[in-house]
Amino acid sequence: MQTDVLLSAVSVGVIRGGMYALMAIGLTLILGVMHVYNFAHGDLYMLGAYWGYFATVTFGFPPLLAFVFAALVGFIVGAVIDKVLLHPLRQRSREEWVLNTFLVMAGLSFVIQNVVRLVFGNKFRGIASYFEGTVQFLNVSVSVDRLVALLVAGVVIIALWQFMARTSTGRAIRAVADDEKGAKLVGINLNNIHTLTFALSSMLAAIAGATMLSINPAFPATGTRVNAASWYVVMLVGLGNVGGSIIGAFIIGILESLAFFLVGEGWPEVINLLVIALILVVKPNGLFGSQVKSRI
Amino acid sequence: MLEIRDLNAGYGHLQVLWDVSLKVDKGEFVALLGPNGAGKTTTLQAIMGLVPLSSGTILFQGKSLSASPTHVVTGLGISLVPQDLSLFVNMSVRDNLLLGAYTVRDKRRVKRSMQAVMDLFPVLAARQRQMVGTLSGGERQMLALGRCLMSEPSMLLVDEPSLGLAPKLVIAVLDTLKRLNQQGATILLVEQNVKTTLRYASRAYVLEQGYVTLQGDSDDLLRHEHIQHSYLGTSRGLVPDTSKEI
Repeated sequence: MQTDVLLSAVSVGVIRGGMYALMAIGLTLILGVMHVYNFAHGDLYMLGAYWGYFATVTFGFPPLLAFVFAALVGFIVGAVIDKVLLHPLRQRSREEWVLNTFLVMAGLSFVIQNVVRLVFGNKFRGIASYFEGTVQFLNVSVSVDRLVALLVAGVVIIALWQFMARTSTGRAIRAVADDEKGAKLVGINLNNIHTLTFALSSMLAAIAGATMLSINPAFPATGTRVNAASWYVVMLVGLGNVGGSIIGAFIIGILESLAFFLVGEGWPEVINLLVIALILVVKPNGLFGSQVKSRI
Repeated sequence: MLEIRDLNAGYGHLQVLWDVSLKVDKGEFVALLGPNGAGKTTTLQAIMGLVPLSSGTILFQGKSLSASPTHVVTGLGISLVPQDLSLFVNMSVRDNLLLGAYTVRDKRRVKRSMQAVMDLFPVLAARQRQMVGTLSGGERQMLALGRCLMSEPSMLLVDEPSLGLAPKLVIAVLDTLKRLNQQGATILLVEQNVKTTLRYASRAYVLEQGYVTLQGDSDDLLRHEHIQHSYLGTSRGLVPDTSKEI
């Protein structure tokens, strides 16, 4: 009995971990490439949930097409945010960049949430499930929906990884994160890379939001908790580590779900933050945080 | 090929370059000499669009570069090896070289220049998979030069390759530049080391406190009184003339 509870807690945690991985990779990318602390990331997730809902309920798309639709709209939303908000700021001045962009993104979060509240109203929009049925595995039953969400997260992360490692554009994104001047000198247009990075990050968040729709319905404040949890991941593993943030996402996901099942409903955040605080006391750079980047 | 006319530039309120004019013809190996803080690096950065111009023009192959962003200048065929090298230290040697060919869309050309760079610097070929962070100073200098060559630039700007390198390696780098020049590359080299540089470059400009104070053929400059006095320390200077003082 006790092991069953433990197993189902872990399985729920792994699935949440897949979603957090999508979110945390996006945060890490924006942080590494653009030096922007994006506190509106949860709202991009929330918008993704709405795109998934409209695609499924309003347009009647099949689930996979709904995910693709959410991804596309998410990409466009991200590109527009960069072009309208961050690009003009970048042109004007790079002084106090981190603080300025933090304020811009925090403000954007309020704006997005309240515009959504104004337009779509204050009600939950969810679906019962994309796919029906459950899968039995080691005495634990997991809904197909959750497995699909995990699978989609896995496929998207692997695709992104290949894109970053093998394509010329992916290399350019890494180059900008590594050395901005060097990137300019080899002929990379920083503006394009910044826009693309923000768009990709927003796309990942939208995919997470859409795939989790049957578990977390769309609601103006859906993103708030997800945003916090994604930041926990980034804090836990150290800023700017994409590989580490995948592992960290599963750690946070499992921790949260164990706390929920074993301790109680109000406890996941408390236990998460406690663990992070303890780890940061021992390793101030985070679990996988690299030392200060060496530059010659 | 490259012509700078009455260039004034600097950082914010600090003007560094005052009416600098210089010219590099196709196939030439020209040096830009001068002491620390004279504005040599700023001149190269102005060409690359890394610092804003307050006035003056920069012409490359007859077209004005003024106010072009850096990536456009690179795309036109000018490539800079900066003083700090600006390598991608968390990426592999191979990735760095491939990024050097970022503006080249033709895959066969990328392959060809990769082979050429490997032939030029066999050390890099052996270290393709290694992270740049693990390379020595000399290897990094070669990688930075190799990365520039990947785009097959028509003009190469090199900023103080001697900085932080052992004298033997400095000669190796200069030999490589000479060879590239003989193969047709146009080179503008910034250096502090006057004597050695003038043996490699055919012409030179001397920049002092933001002004071009001297220019001419290397041989003439080597014999010039000001150069001898201030940079080579042959007539007076490094060796104190004690007889006069006592």
